[in-house]
Amino acid sequence: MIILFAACSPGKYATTNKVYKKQVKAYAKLLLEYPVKDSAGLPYAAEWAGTTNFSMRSPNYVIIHHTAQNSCEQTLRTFTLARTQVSSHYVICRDGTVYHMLHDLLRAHHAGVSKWGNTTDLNSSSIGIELDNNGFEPFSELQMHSLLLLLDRLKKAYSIPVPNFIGHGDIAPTRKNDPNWRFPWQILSENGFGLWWSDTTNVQVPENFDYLNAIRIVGFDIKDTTAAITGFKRHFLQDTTKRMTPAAQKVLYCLYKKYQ
Amino acid sequence: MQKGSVLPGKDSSEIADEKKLLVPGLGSLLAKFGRANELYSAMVDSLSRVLFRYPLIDSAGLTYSAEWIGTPNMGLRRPNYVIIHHTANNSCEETLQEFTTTGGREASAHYVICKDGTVHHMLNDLLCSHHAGESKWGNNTDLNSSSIGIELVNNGSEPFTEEQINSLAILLERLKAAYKIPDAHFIGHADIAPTRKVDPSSKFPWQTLSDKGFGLWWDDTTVVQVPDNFDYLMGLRIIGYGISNPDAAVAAFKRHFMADNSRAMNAQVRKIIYVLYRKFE
Repeated sequence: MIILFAACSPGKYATTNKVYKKQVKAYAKLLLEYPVKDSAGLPYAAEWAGTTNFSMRSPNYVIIHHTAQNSCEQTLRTFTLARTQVSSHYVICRDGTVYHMLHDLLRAHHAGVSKWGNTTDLNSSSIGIELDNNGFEPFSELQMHSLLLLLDRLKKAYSIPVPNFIGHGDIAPTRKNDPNWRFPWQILSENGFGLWWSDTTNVQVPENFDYLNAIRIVGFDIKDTTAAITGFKRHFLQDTTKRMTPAAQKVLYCLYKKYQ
Repeated sequence: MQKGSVLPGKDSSEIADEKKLLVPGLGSLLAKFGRANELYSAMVDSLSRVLFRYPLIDSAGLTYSAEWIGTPNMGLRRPNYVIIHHTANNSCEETLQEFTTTGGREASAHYVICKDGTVHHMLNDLLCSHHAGESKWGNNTDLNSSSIGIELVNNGSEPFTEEQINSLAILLERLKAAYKIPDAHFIGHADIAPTRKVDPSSKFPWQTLSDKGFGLWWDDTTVVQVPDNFDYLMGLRIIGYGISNPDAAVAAFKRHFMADNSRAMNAQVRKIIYVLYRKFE
């Protein structure tokens, strides 16, 4: 109700910004709590000794999304409504404007049920970036320009490994297809964000090549094999068809060996 | 994160310098931990304040929006793995001393479990302790940021005590429930750093833990037929091991899943890898 009321005034996000600050303060307090309350049954040491060697948990992956909405404004509204419970760290509008909606060291709610390699809590280990895009259009040049600058900063700040720049559709292949197949993953990879393959003309795929295991090694969950193949082809071949082909196997064979 | 990381916030030695809190090498136990504990609080406070900053300082070159809009849909980053270590020393005291010393290795763990079963909870679960070092599991290269570290006091060649394993099991139960840690994600330090580490030693009761729901295990393999084209290195990689050094990966696998300290690859090892890797879809 308060949010609706605030939506009519010029500083229309003042109220939700206050909520942001209040919540961050609550989390900061939580970090100072000791001892943890739910530790029943353990013979805890009588005297507490805190360690002096620690830091904040930081992200190890960057997950790229498209908003599947029609405007930045619409996405900002979605992410400032508490009842939606969804968010991302960054929203990049079509004109290249960047909204930094959540501190990098906090956990945004962008991944949903997802898996990459063995990791099942991608929200806790990633930065989420939403690109304003309806899902059926190319990504604007201004948007890509801002994205590359942002990725460069994130990569340096958190030592994010080259292979760990991936898409929402990669970590949730049965549920998601974003960013859509028009997303220029190859350009990202040329800039050091994500892996890519090179010329496959002379590549000979061994007859007994287990392509599903290779897809799993790249990171895809292969419980639903069709979804995994589709996710792989969308990302690495800009192809939205479902069938494994000799050409796709070649690409996969080149790629998976980079994931030792 | 290692010392000197680019993460915002001060590291412990900076704060210690500012507050002239030099942790004494010796001295009474009480005074020693008293100072370390003061430093702990000061550091958490400093890290928390980092979260209040907006906009970030190092965002040069980006077209930021004129008006800042925060989202209320957030949380703290949580652990997804539990990494078990042995301390490779002789007493709890030595470990506590090391983890409360600034400068040097700056190592830590969330929990230290002494031989008598006493648990020292040295760091809030939601913060990042420095226990993993350079490591990798699947595609994850920052295990410190995504795990809870538990150190068992053990010299590396002796069995773990019953009291220790009892406390460990209770602790794991709590962690699993609190952070929804998947069964497969209870692993050892050597699993994530097979070229550098051997802990916990082959005497660690992984099978007992697995029976309680912490970590995966294999069953009777007598009737298992391994397909001819099964690539065991792919199998190891899917379980999570880094395979850039295949010998080290095999050695770590055998230590963990066969309580065997040798490196030789054979049909039985291949069978067990085969049985296990299929649980890691």
